[in-house]
Amino acid sequence: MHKVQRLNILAVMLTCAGVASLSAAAAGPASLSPRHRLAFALLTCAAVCASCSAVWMWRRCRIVARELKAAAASGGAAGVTVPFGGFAELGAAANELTAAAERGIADSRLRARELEIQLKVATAERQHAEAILYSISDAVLVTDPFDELVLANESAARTFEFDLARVQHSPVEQVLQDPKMIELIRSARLAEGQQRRVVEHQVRTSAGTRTFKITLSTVSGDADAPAGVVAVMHDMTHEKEISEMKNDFVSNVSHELRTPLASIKAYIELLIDGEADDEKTKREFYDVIQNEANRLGRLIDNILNISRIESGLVKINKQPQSLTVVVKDACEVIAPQARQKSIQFTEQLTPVFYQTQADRDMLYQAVLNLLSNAVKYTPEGGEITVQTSVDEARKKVITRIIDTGVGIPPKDLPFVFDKFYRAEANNRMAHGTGLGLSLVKHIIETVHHGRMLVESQVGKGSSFGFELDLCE
Amino acid sequence: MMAVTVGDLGDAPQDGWLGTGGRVGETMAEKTILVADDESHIRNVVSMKLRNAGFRVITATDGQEALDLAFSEKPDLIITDYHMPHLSGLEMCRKLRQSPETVAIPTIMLTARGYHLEPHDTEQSGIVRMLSKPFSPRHLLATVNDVLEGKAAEKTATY
Repeated sequence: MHKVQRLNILAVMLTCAGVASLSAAAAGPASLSPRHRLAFALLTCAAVCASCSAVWMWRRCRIVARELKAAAASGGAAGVTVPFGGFAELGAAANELTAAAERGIADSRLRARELEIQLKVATAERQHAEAILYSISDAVLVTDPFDELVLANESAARTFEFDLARVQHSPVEQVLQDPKMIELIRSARLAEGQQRRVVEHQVRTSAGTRTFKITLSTVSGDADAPAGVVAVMHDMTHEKEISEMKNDFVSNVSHELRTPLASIKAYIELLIDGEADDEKTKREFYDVIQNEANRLGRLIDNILNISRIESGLVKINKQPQSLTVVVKDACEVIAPQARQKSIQFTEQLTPVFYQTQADRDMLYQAVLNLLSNAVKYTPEGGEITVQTSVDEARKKVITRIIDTGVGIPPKDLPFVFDKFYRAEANNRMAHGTGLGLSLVKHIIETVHHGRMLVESQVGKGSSFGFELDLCE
Repeated sequence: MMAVTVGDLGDAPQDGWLGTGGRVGETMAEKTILVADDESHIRNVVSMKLRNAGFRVITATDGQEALDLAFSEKPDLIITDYHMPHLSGLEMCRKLRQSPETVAIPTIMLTARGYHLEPHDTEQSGIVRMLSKPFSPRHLLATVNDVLEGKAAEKTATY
């Protein structure tokens, strides 16, 4: 409030009072003495002054109130301006209040900003943690001290078949249909201290029984009271299958190695003991020993080649080859084995001039394995037909080995080329390592970019073959 | 593969031959042994060793054939592989135990798998010895003689 303004208002007031008192004195009752007239004039002047003051104060209060209201409405942005110095204290108080309010508002704004940043950081961290959680292929379940689900990932939802969006803060016994799993979570929560426990558990899912390695960790809250449990479930079904397959493989390989070795050792012992006295029998014994030694060699070749091809160590020497010649060479080795089982062995081969770019030894091994399987799985008196053909339009050379063997059940057919896989039904028919067909597929598809051809009917027989590109 | 099967060679017992562990006697000459194995070389080598030692040998190429032969021929002893088509050696032995006609036939199991049978398995299936491949035909013959003598002693005791 400016001093000049204040003085002006004061001057107006005094003038009003003066005029009022003078007119009062002049217009006063004539009966009064001059002393009394003066007194009357003064009183009148006082009354006018009082009235003016009251009006002025009332107005002043209204202004202050209005200013305060405006200041409050503007959130302290507008200062409070109190007119006339007479109420400076009120103005100062109001201004202090306003300043305090302004400071409070500024602090709140700062705090709000800080909280906003913290919220953003927390949200980002949460999203980060959730992204990690969702990208984990293992199933993750997080529960609170009341065994309610607070967090889970998609893998967990898939395993236990629940709707991820609906189960937040639901009790685990409502979410999981697996009593053993619920018990594991509960006992982990009740365990004393921060603990980590690893258990193996089988969960029945719609896709079959899966085996999980479950790591249960107790999360401690305040005063070491358990705050919840984190369960991380690693699906080890496939690992277990592989491990079982490897065990079977070791057992099968040992069986496969022992069988020819048994023949070799037994025939040698008979020769040493002089049980074969005539030359013809001795000759037969030598043949058996040689053939069985070759069988051992082939088995070892199969094992080594598959490991070499898989590790990429094998040297591949591709030259134009006649598939017919390679098939014929393999037939010469296998035909005696077929004859031994009274299997009718028929060759239907194309002329040798059709050639394909191939590694001769590998191709030979592939054909030999297919032929050897045909003999193995065809009962005595059956038939094996070996065909080679050319599809000039598609520029392919094709070979098929058709047997009248036991055949492969449709459920096993997609897996016959898997390493160590052996069809249950055929395991009873003949021994094997589960490597032969896997090696053939590697040789044809990985090394020669060809294609395997398989058809089979249980009880009727199988046809195994492949096609390779014809040389230009 | 072979022009003459090895089994054909052993039809006439070679009285003069005395291999390690082999004992040729009149009592043994009457005994019939069933050899079951899907590997022809193993069948042949075992048959030859036993025939040379004076036994009558019959052979089977799978578990079902062996079971049929065991019922029809009632051999004194069976030597069988574990892993055979159609019916495993162990399954065949269990089936033999179920019939009073064949329950007493002792069995020697010759296997390329390192199976360690549980005692109750062997009791239930009548398997008296397990031999693993590779095996020594001499040792097999000695085992056959032991088992047959053991069986004879058992029978004597029963009478």
